[in-house]
Amino acid sequence: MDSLIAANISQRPLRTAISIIGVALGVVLVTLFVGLARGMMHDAARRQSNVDAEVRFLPGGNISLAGNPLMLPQRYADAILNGVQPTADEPDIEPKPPIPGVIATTAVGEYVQSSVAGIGFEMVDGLDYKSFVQCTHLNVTKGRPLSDGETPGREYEAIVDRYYAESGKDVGGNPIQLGSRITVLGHEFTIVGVYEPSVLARVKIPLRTMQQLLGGAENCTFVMAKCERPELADQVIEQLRRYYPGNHVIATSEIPALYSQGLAPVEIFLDVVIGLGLVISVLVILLAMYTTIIERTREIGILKSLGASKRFIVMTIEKEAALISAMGVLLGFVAAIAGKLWLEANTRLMVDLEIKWLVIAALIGIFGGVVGAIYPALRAANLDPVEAISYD
Amino acid sequence: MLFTYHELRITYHASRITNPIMQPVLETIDLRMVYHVGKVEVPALRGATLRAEAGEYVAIMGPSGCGKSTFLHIVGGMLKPTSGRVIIEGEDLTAMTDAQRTDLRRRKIGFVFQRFNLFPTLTAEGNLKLAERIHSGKSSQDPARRRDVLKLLGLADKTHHKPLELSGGEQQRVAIARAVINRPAILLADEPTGNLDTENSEVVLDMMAQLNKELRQTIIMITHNAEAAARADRVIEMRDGHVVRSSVPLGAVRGHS
Repeated sequence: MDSLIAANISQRPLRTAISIIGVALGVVLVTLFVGLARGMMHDAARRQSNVDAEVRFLPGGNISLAGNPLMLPQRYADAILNGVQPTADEPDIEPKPPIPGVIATTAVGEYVQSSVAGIGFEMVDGLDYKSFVQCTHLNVTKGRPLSDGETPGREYEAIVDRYYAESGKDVGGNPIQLGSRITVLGHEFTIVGVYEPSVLARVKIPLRTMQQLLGGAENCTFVMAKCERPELADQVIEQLRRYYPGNHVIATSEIPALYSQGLAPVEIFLDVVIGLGLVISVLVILLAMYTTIIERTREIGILKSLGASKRFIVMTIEKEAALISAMGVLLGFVAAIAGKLWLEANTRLMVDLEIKWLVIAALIGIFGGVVGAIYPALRAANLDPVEAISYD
Repeated sequence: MLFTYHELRITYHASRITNPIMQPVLETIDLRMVYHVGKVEVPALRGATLRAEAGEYVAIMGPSGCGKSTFLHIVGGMLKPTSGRVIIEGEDLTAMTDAQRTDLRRRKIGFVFQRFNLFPTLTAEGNLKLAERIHSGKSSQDPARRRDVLKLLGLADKTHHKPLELSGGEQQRVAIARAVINRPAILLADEPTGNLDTENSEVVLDMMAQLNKELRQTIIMITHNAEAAARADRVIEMRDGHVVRSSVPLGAVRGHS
């Protein structure tokens, strides 16, 4: 072997392997965690916006995924579609007309629970099936539709999307099929149908049942309104804001952006993960190269006796660190891809390995390695040549 | 008895036919070196003066602790003396910065050590290539020169062997090849046969003599071995940090007569 750098790397295979794994760990942290967060966010946002209803009506206050899920009176759905008139029970209620351009509304309850698969979280929808299908293009492809939740013996039924049906497991750990039982809100539900396409949460149960289990009688999380024509959405939003002030009214098309805003804390978490990945790379290479320098003190003395400049010695060590880091980056990519495949095969988590983040992870791995090697390299370059060459 | 610089020159010129106006390849003038061990000052060199002409083979002998190795390290630019001057081919080493001394070492010095000091992970050829790369700064080097040197040192069939696959004598010959591959002005050898048996010592000394004769390689060699010193053109004796004697071995007188 004629290359000093390659020879040094192959001389201590275990230490080289540990260094590579250390850098790879940082790369995996960045790629997999960022990919996981973004994958889940994109997937959820896509499913949230994958409905025909152009307008979403939510309770006032902060829009939060972690808040009380059933805060909005369900009767808004009827009020938006049919208007409000005083009744014998409520003679003082202010009359309001039907919102022009709205042809269908549906109340939806949305609850976030720990994933049945044990990793992460998953959302569950509570819905009134008949009105829901008028606001979406949801279609049951296997089994039968969801009940209204009031028919005795059919309160604990669920329908799931095709992805869930293909990747999920029932309470016994068996693949999902019609009749399988899954845990939702701490209760066992029977899967009675599989639907397409993925809309909102993957698991849907009757809104009535959700209200009973969560204690939010007659309430929902939001109301979706379908317009006669999509271009009427702005007009409908304006009317809703006029007649029902104090509530949030948003266009469905804005939901992905809203999701990004709602997940701002995740971005902070990702920054921490990126920083952690960088620190791991720096420390691993620092320790590896520092011990290498001590072990190779005599060889550094030989280099000095041959007339190697400080720059040559620094560059030799930096190149070695960069090469180890590059191998760590490659291993990290392989591990991240393997992790993505495993997670997606065994859980309902989605991982987006975007090129941008792969490049960032690679730069972090290599930059961390190069920075980590600076101190050992400078220390080596400044060794006294006579002491170094006499080192045992 | 101490020799003066003037006397040394007379002794030297008597032993060798040289051009009197020729610039010496190496000149040390009143070289002093004091080590500081805590608060104690330990003098290693107390005014060592020496001159060597191009192509000369000089052996330095003396008891342990007399300053031989310190002298060699200073001449090789690895140590800076406390005072005095070292001039190599007209360049004053003692007036240089650390980086400049390193650069001069790269251009003009070749080292051979008692412990061979080869890179164990590199092949014989790899060790030479590394020295070439440090010297030239380029990865493209002179394979013909490398072949010639390896052939001259009897290593033509050992180019792809790593040090641990070579005998001690072969390792030392690789170290010599590495030291001369870049045509240094001076080859500094520190006990080059100190780790070798008699047979291998003979081979290594023969090779060094051959380099001196065939390539006119200037050699300054530290040795405890009188037989090794006898191969040189001149033997310098050091004691207590001084050069105390310069003599011409009998073999050298015969060789030049």
